[in-house]
Amino acid sequence: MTVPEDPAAPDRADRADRPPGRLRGRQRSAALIGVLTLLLGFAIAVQVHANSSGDALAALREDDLIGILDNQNARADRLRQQIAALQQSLRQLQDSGDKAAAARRQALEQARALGILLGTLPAVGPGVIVTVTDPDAKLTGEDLFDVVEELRGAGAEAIQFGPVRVSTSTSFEGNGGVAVVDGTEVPSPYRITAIGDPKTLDTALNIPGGVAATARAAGGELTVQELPQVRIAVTRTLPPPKYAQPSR
Amino acid sequence: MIAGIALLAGIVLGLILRPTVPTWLEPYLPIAVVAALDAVFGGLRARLDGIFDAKVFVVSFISNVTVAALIVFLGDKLGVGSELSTAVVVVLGIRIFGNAAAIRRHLFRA
Amino acid sequence: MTAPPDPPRPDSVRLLVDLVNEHLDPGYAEAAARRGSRTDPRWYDRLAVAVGCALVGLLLVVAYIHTHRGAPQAEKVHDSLVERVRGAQHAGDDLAARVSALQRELSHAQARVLPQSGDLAKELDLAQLEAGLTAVSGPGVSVTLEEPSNATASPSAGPGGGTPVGPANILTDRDVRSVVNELWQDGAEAIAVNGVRLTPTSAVRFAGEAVLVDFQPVTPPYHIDAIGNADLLATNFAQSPVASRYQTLAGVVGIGFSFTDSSRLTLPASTPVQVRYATVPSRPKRHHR
Repeated sequence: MTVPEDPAAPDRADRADRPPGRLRGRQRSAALIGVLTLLLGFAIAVQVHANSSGDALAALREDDLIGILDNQNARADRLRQQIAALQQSLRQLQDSGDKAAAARRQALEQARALGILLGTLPAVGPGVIVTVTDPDAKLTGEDLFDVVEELRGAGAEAIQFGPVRVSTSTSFEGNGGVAVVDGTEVPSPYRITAIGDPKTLDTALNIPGGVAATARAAGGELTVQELPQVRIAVTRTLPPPKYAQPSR
Repeated sequence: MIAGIALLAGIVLGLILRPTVPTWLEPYLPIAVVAALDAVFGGLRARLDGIFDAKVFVVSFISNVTVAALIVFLGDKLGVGSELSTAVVVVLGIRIFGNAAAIRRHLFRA
Repeated sequence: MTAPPDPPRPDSVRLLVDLVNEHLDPGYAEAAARRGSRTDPRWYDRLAVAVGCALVGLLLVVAYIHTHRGAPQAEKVHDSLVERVRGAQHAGDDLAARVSALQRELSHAQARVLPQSGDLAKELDLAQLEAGLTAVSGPGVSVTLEEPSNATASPSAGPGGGTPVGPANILTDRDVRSVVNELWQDGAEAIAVNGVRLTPTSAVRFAGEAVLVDFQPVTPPYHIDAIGNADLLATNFAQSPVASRYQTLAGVVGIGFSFTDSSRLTLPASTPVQVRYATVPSRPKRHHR
């Protein structure tokens, strides 16, 4: 065997003596390449996702972010209360002697709560009576929809607009002093009853630039009367949906 | 060895002194940084190649920074400042990568 | 490894070739050639290296400090706020998932002891579906609203020195609400906005510049999916003043507005809401419409 002259030769000669070593080396490098490309793909995916979803929040101003933070905290509070209520229901079910009766009671309560929200049952509770005048007949159906949305966002659990009970699919049309709510004509001035926390509902309607301001800009007026108890007697029937089917 | 210690000493000195960069120097800071990195990588590679020379190291570093700053300054006056700055960074960046690759070849035989 | 000598090339090409090939300062090679076999160190060698490296270290640190001192305080506050909002969102999502899981557990526990074919169970299922507590699918219409794509560059530079180019904020919550109102009018049975199901208590509102649907922020493009009679929905919507308003806006301002009918849309469920203030009176005076 000649004396190797270039410094790399000993390594090569070494490697030649151990073919299984070289094979292992190749497998190892292939595995390393696989891992590195996997990491690269992962990093690309993460970066794309971060860029697409992160910028939306990052572009907002500080006030908006604080507003969203407040909303998120309020949402978290509500959810925590719900968790507590659900856990209590579960405990009731487990602890009660007559499980069927307990379950039936809970189901009835749920059905009743949903009935209030959907508008199939009458309701009473603390809330507000909102009066919207429109002497110049300038308010549109969408403006009135805004009032209802504002009430919903402030936690209204049942809303009645004139003689019509408001539900999820209630739509508002019309202008010229007459609103068309779910097909029913309701002339102004409009009287809206909502059940919820009176203070929150009142504040929501009167935020600067909100629906009260819109009414005033249209030459009308929006007044809110907080009451310890309001009564919503009108109900509606909800036909079962023909096209929306539960999906698994 | 002495290089590493001196580098560390420079870093520590900078952290202690925390000098503020005057506004007129601000645009030249990025190219100075890239020139510094280029000098370090070049010196390291020369060391591994066995042809390191201290005088060349210092002179090339200082002259690179100065010439690059002069080019950018002139470019600013002529309205092509940012483009020339980009060009300087690109060229020095290519050199950094080339030297880094050579260093890698020395160290890992890969 | 030396390549075979290249044929003489014009200087400009050689410049580029040198750029890519010659990374090391040629001064080193020349100094080495001049030195020849002399290897004794000169007196200034170590000093020069020390001074050079110290300068480099100093420069790097100064640049780092300068960059990070330059970031105005407001930016840092803003970033931490964004982090908090995201954290709150995730926490909220986790809580919502927990609520859904508990609800499912409760339903299963109830189903075990209640007869499933009973009237009460059927009534409850229907109410849950209509209140948006069950995921639904069916034919329908999907409306999309997008901000105009010719973005305007914002004047402030980002922390990394880049200039973020944000879309113009023309669309507001009113636009989303208009479309939703119109879809209910046209006969939609269930609607979701950007994957958030509309329920009796969910509202589309504004928080400054962000649109919130049921307290969850959504960003453009806004996809409003409605399940119902696809043909009827599409026809009625197409003929509505809302649709023509947005067609016009699309032409004038450049917002994106489109709607398609679909044979199968799937809308997710929403989390149930507690009723805290309203109760059913003990002797209801029912006035049916």
